[in-house]
Amino acid sequence: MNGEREVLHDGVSPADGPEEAAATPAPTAPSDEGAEEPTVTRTDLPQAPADESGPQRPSDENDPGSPAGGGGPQRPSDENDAPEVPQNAAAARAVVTRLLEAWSHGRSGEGPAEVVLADALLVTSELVTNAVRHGGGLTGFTAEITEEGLLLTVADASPEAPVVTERDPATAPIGGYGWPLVRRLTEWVSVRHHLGGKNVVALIALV
Amino acid sequence: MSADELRVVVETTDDGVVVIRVRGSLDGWTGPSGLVEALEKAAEDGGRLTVADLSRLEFADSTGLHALLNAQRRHTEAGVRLVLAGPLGTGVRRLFEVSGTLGAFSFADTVDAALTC
Repeated sequence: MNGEREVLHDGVSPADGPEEAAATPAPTAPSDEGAEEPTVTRTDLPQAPADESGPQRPSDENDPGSPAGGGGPQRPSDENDAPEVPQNAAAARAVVTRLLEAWSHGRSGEGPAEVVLADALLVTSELVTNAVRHGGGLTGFTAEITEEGLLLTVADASPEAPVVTERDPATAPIGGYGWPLVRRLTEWVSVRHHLGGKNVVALIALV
Repeated sequence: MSADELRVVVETTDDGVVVIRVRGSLDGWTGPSGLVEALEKAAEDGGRLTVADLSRLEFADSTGLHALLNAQRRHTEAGVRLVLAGPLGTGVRRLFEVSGTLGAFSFADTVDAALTC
């Protein structure tokens, strides 16, 4: 099942995104480039009701751009029928869990492979956390099943490209693990800028 | 409590062992609050062994990894052993696997095993 995704254990190998390693974003992101419309479809959202939307928020952050506790924070110039923005990383993971469970049951009658689910949740958590901690706030989150796999789109309020510091985890220690994990667990990651911020789009293989 | 929260309970024994039981989710959004402090204190107190019981940790991301790596370094500096005790859930195990950090820690199958090894 999850054959070709065994890219584990080797150190930081930057080139593990098969074809389009468009991942590493340009250092400084032109925020005002003309074509700001993402090319990825953001339709068809598996918007599961965020029932257990616990009002927890990052306790130690006063990020000015953090999503306000209550309703949907400001979204960039996209659709109005966009799904509710998850209130925390756990809520985003719950959306992905429900989506993968529904997809897997519809397909095989069984739940998703544990490793597939674990990897998807890890990527989800890293991306939405990054949006909050470094991206001026999470402004949108969608997860959808495509023919290629699980497509995650995470919108934040900052036009800055993600900060990427890849290090060898074995030797040097601290920080900067999130993005390498995302790179390693995804087929590709791309960063699409628009006027109000950016979308980070990631594809996770499911089979 | 919800599984989304991080819960940290510290138990200290007479013979220099600190057991830190971690439950819930450890992610960068909520933050590693409580765990970092508990691990730091365990290293500072200079006992002989710290066991981080991760068996009931349901999820962890790079923030959790960061906290544990930092704790490992602090324990090494302080001359205190740090053992991560399982059994680990799939998600937590994957975090160590995918990040290539399995070798950076000492693992034990259970807390009991950690206490006797």
